[in-house]
Amino acid sequence: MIGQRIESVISVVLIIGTLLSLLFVFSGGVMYLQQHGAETMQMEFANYKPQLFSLSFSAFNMINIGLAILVATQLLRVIMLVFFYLWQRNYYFTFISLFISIVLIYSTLYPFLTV
Amino acid sequence: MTVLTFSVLIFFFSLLAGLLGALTGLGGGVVIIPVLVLGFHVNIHYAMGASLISVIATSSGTAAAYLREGYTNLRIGMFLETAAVMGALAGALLLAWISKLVLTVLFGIILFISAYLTIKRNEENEEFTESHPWAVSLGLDGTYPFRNTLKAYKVQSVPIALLIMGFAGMVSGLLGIGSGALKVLAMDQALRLPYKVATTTSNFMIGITAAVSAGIYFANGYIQPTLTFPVVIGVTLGAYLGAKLLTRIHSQTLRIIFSLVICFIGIQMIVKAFTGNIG
Repeated sequence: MIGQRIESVISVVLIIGTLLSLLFVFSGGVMYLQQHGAETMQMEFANYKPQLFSLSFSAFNMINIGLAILVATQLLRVIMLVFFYLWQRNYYFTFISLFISIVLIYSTLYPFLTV
Repeated sequence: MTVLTFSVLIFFFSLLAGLLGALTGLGGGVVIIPVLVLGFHVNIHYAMGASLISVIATSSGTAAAYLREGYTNLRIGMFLETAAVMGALAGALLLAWISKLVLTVLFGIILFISAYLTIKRNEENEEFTESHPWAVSLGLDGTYPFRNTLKAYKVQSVPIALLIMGFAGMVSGLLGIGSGALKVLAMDQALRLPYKVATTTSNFMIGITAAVSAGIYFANGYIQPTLTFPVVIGVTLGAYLGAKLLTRIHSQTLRIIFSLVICFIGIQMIVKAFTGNIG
């Protein structure tokens, strides 16, 4: 039954997305600790302003990319459902999934619109 | 303390958060935010950012497992999620206008509510023979694995569930938590779903709701990589271990202990809010 298969597909997407995200976050984290591990921890984070991804392999960038993948995975699973329900000709749920996708896309683009 | 020490400590607390989260259904947020704010004096906004990310991570991990097993009701999840994402967007956008004092007190109150909901007895639902009209037209009924067969269930009170879900979404956006407890409430008490269907569907949903808030939090600078990276790794690992342990632990005892701890933390947060000194 494809109904059961869609759950398996989404499940796999979630696992792969999370692991990929962890890979970036972990690499970035290790780099960060290597560079700054011995420094005193500053609890003020105000010096860090959100920057959109530059093309460098800096520690912060790696972590941010990992986080972006985590969020992108959520978007991906909703978009997959849009196509699944469309394929099923279930228009109510195609619309519902589409609505959620749009809200997600808006919120993901929000930093690019305002930063 | 050094950066390394800080990161390692946060990692261990996140591990604990993930573990407890997977075992009780509450997200990592209720542990992570108080630990960071009360223990490490981190500004609450950054604690919320870290917590939000941890919610997404645990949701992905646990949803992956439960989807496979066939408990999650995708249609109910997606349908209710429309209300939740609108709430989350509103909550996250409002966040910049709310004072930290109000946030902290609100968080304390939500902690009490979560504690109460966690130990509330789940009576076995009576068997319903019909679903709410909205549920019928959308085809929200489903089946779930019970013993060796698939047991069917019906769906009630859809409009109320939508309302609760919208509120849960707003709380999630405003406080950076998963609102899993509120979501389960909506599905268990309003829709009258079997408890396992409610918890697994809630798990599926919280990641999407949190992802909606994430973009806005990031734009406001609340998601700090230095704080977030040990949290994500710890929580994911903890949730994975927790899911493995689930069958071997007597959850009722655990939930009672957890609820008492959360109440205590809730009191601490409120006290701290009023004695000043919120990061």
